[in-house]
Amino acid sequence: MIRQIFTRDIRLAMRRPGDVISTVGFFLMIATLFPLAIGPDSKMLALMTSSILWIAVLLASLPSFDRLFVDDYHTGFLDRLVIGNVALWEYALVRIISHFCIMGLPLIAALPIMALFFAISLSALPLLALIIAVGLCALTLLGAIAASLTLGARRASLLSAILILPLAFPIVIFGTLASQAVLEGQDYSAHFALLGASCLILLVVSPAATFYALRFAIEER
Amino acid sequence: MTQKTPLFSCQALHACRDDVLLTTAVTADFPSASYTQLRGRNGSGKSTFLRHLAGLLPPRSGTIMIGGKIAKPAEIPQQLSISYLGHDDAMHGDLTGYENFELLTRQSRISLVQSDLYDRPVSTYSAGQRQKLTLHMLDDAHDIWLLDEPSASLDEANLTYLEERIAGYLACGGIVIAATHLPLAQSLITQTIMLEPYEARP
Repeated sequence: MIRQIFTRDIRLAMRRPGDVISTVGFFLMIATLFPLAIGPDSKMLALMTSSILWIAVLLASLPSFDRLFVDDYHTGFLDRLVIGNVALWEYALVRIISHFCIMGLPLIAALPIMALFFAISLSALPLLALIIAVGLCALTLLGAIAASLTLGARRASLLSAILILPLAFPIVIFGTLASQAVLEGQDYSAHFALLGASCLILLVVSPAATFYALRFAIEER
Repeated sequence: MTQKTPLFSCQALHACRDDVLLTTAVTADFPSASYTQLRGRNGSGKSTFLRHLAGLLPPRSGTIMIGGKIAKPAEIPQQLSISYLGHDDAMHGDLTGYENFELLTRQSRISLVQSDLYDRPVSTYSAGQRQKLTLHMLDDAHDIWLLDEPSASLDEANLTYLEERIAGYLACGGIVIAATHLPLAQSLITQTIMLEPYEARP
């Protein structure tokens, strides 16, 4: 069942590529806004590259988290999973993984374009991609908790953004510091380890929290 | 049927939503090869009652028993295999009929009638075509069918099809519980439960 849901998600993403394209477009737009607002001072921009990158990642991925469960909730698919005795935490985990593949990987794939904008050296790019991948993973796990908690609520997207942002601070902080170190050719391992630790903690907490929130949402339907 | 179905019953069960009791208490057995109709006005709690029976909504008052033991809501889908047909059909509009069928029934597409229609996305279907597809998803191998207004937008031919399916399923020992306000397979009915609105005693 888990594999079938994953295949379904990939299939749906292929059928409506607009969602992915707009997310990537939004990501690039945010990043281009900074040089326009700050001015073409290349020294200043080099100093801020990693912060800009992370703010763009955070803002671009935030709206997409709302889509995690809302369709399956409104169509009654979640009901059928409960009736069909499918564990909801497994469902939550597979949705998180497929969401990361559908929304997260294209953002990472857009990094070379960012590298062009901000004169990031190509040798730093693979490491940067890895750090952002781990960060996006953590953000998606966090987004799943918020998305499941706000199911059925009015203004759910605003509410979930308010829930996610404060909790995302550590991820953004460690991510920015690690990327900054990579860009400057310094030791990034401490910050990267902390980022990885936040991701691992969320990996344990998120499916369980999402499970309970989904269960409540189904009862309230 | 997987094996012999244990006795499914409810005791003093009220339909209850948002902590408000909707119906008077219902005590009933649902033995093998029985067809129970839930009747009542719109908003009388028929759908809510079915959600209690499916384990989707924990009852606030009353119990559901399987094989003589009290079953917690989460245990119901573990102990019984259920086909559930509700207001929302759980289908995704961008997936084709076959893809929805495979996902929701966990059977291969061979089990579904071959038709060009089912190669098209479900969002292009009419309400009746959609409902016909959900009827195909009813599984004779399941222990129990919970049907929520199954005949609402069916034409004559599909209504006959549904009645035949119910008859065939009952003949092989299935349990059917249907909430409906339209007549449906009246000749097969084992019992009718009237859901009366709950009125708090003064």
